[in-house]
Amino acid sequence: MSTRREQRKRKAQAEVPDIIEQKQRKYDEAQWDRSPLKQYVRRYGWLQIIEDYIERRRNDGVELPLKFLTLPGANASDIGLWWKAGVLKKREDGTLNVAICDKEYADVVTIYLRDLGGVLDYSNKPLHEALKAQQGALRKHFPFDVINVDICGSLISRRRKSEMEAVERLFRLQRGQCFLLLLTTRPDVTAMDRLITILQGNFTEGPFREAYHMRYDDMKPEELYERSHIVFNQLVIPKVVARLGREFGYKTYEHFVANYFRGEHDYRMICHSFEFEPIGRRNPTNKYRPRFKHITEDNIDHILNDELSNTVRSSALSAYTDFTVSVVKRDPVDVSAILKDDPELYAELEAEAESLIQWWENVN
Amino acid sequence: MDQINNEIQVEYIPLEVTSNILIHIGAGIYNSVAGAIKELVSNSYDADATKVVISTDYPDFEQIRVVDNGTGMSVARFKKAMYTIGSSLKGTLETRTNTEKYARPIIGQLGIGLMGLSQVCSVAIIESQLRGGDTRFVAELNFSQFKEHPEEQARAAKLNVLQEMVERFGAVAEMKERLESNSLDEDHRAELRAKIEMMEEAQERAQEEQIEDLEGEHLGYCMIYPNMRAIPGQDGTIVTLRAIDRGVRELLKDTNRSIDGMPRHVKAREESWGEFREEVDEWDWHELCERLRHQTSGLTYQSLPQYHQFLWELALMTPVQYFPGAPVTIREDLLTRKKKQLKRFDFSLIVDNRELFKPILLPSGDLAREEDLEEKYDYNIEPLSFEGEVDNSLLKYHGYLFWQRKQVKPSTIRGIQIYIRNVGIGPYDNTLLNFANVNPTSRAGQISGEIYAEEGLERALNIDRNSFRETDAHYLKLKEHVWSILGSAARGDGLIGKSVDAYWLRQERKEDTIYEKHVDDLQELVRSTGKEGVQLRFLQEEHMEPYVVGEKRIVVYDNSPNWPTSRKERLYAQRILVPVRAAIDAGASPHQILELLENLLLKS
Repeated sequence: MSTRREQRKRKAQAEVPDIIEQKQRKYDEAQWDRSPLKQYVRRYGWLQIIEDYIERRRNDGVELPLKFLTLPGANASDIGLWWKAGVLKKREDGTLNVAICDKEYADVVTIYLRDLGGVLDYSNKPLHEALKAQQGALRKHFPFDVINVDICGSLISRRRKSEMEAVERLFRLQRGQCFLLLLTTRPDVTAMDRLITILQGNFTEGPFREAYHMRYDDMKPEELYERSHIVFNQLVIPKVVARLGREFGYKTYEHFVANYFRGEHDYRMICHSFEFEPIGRRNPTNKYRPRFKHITEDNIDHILNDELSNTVRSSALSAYTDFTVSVVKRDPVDVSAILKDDPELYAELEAEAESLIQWWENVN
Repeated sequence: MDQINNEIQVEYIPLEVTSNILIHIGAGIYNSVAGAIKELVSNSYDADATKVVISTDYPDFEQIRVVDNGTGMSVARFKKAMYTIGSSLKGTLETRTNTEKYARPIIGQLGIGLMGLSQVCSVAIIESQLRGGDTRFVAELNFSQFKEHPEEQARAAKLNVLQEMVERFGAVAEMKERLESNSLDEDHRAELRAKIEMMEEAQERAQEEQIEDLEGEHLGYCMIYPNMRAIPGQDGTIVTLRAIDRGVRELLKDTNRSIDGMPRHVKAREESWGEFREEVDEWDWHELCERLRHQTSGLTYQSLPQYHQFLWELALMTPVQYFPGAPVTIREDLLTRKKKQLKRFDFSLIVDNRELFKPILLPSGDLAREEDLEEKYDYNIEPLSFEGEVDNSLLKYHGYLFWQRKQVKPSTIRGIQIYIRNVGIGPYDNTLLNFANVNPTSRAGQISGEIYAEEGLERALNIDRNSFRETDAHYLKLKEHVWSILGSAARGDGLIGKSVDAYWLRQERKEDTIYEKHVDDLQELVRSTGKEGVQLRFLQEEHMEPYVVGEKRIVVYDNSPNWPTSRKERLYAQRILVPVRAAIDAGASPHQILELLENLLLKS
């Protein structure tokens, strides 16, 4: 065999580990759809919140079906559960009122959901890129009522900023409309410094400092981080998200908060759900429409500066302060612990998660 | 949790192709992006997929993915395709002629189809999982080495190896000649012999290496990971094209495209191609096709963004279904069997969340706006079918040729589209199988037809699978048949002959209408002269008197030789003489007659 051929072969084989790792991760992620822990979050977290939200909308006189954006994974189990529970409906044109974004699976899931009428649109890009693309498929469907961001990586990471950028873009594209954000992420253990800096920033705010000291005594943020970076993350992440909400004139409510061990791996995933309510919309039905109708993502900063009244700004600030205090006081649900003590529920959720694998095959 | 076996097998296959094929690949097997992508769609179709989703990463086009829900592909089949690519283009992979579940005629061009991707991208990742299987294979086709040195590769491919050897080692022959000369001493001879031996060895080695190079690896390599664990529910095949060629991306983005190509109203708005593309992208597929059919706001195929042209081509070439009522919306019974078959095959192609249907909607252009179109007058349809042995092999096809009295729109569906196993071969042949080149006719642009070859004709395909070898017996038979159906204006037969007849039929009808109006007008004029109760009659019999005026009736002998020969002049003469005569009979004064004449001559 010629040397040139050998060289080519060696070069090609050098790339093998990357591809195998990539594919293994893909396989693991698909398997994780079967987890009863994750199903607990889907059922007692996300679904419950969505149902409550529908009820609140109804009380406000809004009966319109919800529009969803989700990162569905290989089996789109979240979409399956919503569809089966009746919270996800079809539009007049027969399409499911959901858009999907998933680098690996968006198009695959689209195929399977086609028989149910198909999806609003999909993107095979990572979320931050999909939201960035000027003429991207997803952007034209904004705003959404429910956004489910289930990311395997970290929202706040030492190196990467893309996930946080994606969340910021979501706010921009929502144009001041009320919405639910369901967030699942993995804390980045290397991002300690960044997280501590963020938390320390809040110590300048009296009510937060007070609540923090009351809850954690005089403990310094570093010490809390050392003791439990999960607790720490579950303080910081909602704060960061709510801070963004404040900028866009929202009052943030936190609903279901949880964490769970992910399989055999020694790390926890954390789950947060937020409801962002635009401040200053007197007619409750207006909350569910975009505050800014004809603006683009790129000129929203200008609009926010010019058009959000001082009253809205000051209400947003005080709502944010209240929120940061409430975050310190609440306790996230430890899903792993709950299911460990309740094998019956574990089995039930396991079966339910299993029933959502290829759920589209059993839908008329 | 299950883990993937870390000692996974990995196989390396150089993509070996014969230099002959390499030349074609280098020169471009496919003359469009859609041509290359269509082969992937064909693979999915062969795998009994009911849905193929293509994601182009619009509007960036950094990556193209083709995903299907078919039966998947075994690693053995894939490897065979990789190994046999160079030796056969006729699908030695396939032992069956129809797919298992939907009995679709197998297209079977897996290997060459995958190789064609080298014209679109540098890397293609193929993942496939057999239905119900517990493993999945992942393969990476990498063409980047080929692309890095295109000139070198093309040169090597086109080079005659032996010729090069002669050029490189011509000195050996010279030395051998000198060796035979008597003037050399023995030392010198020994030295020469050693040199010749050394050079001959080098020559042999170089020749082996060159041949080896020519036989393989020019196109790149393929790495296969055959034993990845299956992902439940993810049966089928995913092909991801990465590192899309810059040229392809720029094409799809309309980079450097002149705004002169835009429809006038868009150009007037001074929009960029990107903005126009966004506008076009708002239309659903049916709307886009209808707009092209009607040429709404001057929209032509050529003025479409390249991305939408790509969609159009794909829809034409792949075995997707027709829109309801299409292709000829005023004759829904056309191609009934084929439409039923395509429906039974249950194959749909979705590109960027848009389901494609065949974009053929006839009649088109101005005619599409007209109601009450009539066969023989406005359009004609000639179905055609054939089944029989030609050159000792079966040829079977059916289809139609449609003629409409105005140019077919958009221009891309003028001519004839031939399908083999339901796959469109190239674009519409607007020469009508060379008919228009040999029999120039302005009516060629008024004809649109489709022919489905169910058996045969495949051997007439050129390597590009986009055109035919015109000397092939099957092709010649089809050509002869099509030409006979097209007929001739001079002979007055066939579709062309009928189109001439249609002209005259329309003319006759037009004249009848004019005549009817003339009679009505004349009746009204006579009435206006005050000659009440007079009956006006038109007779076609020959009579020397052009008209006869009686008490109660006026008879006009329209065929009288005394009327001017020209119809126009005749009607004009009647229009003047008959009312004037009627007025005189009614006792009109000269002044009244003059007034009548002024009315007739100056105002009418």
